[in-house]
Amino acid sequence: MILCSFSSVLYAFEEPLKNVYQEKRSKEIFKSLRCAVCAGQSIDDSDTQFARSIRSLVRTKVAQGSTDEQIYDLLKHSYGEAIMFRPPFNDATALLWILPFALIFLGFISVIFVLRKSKA
Amino acid sequence: MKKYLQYIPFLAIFCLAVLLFVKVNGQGKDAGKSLTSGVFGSSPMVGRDMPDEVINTIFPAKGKIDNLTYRGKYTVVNLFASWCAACAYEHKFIKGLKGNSIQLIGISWRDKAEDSFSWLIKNGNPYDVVGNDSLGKYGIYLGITGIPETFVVSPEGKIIMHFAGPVGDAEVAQIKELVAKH
Repeated sequence: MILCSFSSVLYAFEEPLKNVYQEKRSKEIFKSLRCAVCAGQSIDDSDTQFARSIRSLVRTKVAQGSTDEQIYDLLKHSYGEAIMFRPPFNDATALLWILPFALIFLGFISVIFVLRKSKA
Repeated sequence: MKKYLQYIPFLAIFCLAVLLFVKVNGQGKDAGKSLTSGVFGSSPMVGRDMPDEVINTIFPAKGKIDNLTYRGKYTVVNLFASWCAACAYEHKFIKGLKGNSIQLIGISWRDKAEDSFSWLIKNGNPYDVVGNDSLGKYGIYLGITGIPETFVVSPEGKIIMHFAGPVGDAEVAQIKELVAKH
């Protein structure tokens, strides 16, 4: 029974990189990646097998000397842009970024109109 | 005239909402599917080459899987693990793919090699080759988000089909039909 629990711990235990700078860099990368099977969590937050696999791959690549961009490109090749935690700002997503601010602004204008109307 | 001005912000909000709706729907079929929601989503890896990565085999002993493994015949790559209940469910369907001139490759994902091996002995091993992906990296190269997931690979080494989630009769029939046609 003890052996069983050890084997499940084995797959729960993750070995951080020995190089402190590399491990720190890896963690920053984890925070920039989306956990595909969790709601709104980054790869840094999640304990799923998926997230662990990504962390393992990222650490390996960081230790091998890959740049952040190379690592993101690699993951985008497998998963698409959706793997990035923050959607990029481009034609397709510009509206997504701007809309909240536009709505707040328009809401503000509406309030002003209503206030003016009630004063008149 | 001035009275109507107060409606402009609401009209603007409405226009933005319509624009957003149109834009989101016009994204194309692939946009929402780049990340599978777990069952039968579509990976951007479909149409791309199998990864270059090399992994060791659990069975046969001391072998390797590399991108040459996928040349010359149709291959079904099925990712599984001994701890995965859905994999146990689909196992009989995977067995149904054996033969039919298909190379059947199992990838043990995030599992101890000996656990997967024991599981196959207990439940029957239909695979020609079983690869060891205990740290899960090979699966990530394939674009999986969990298991079971299954890929069909052409004799040129290109991914031509992907199933995220357990395969059943319908998927097995689809795979057999695809291979028989070529």
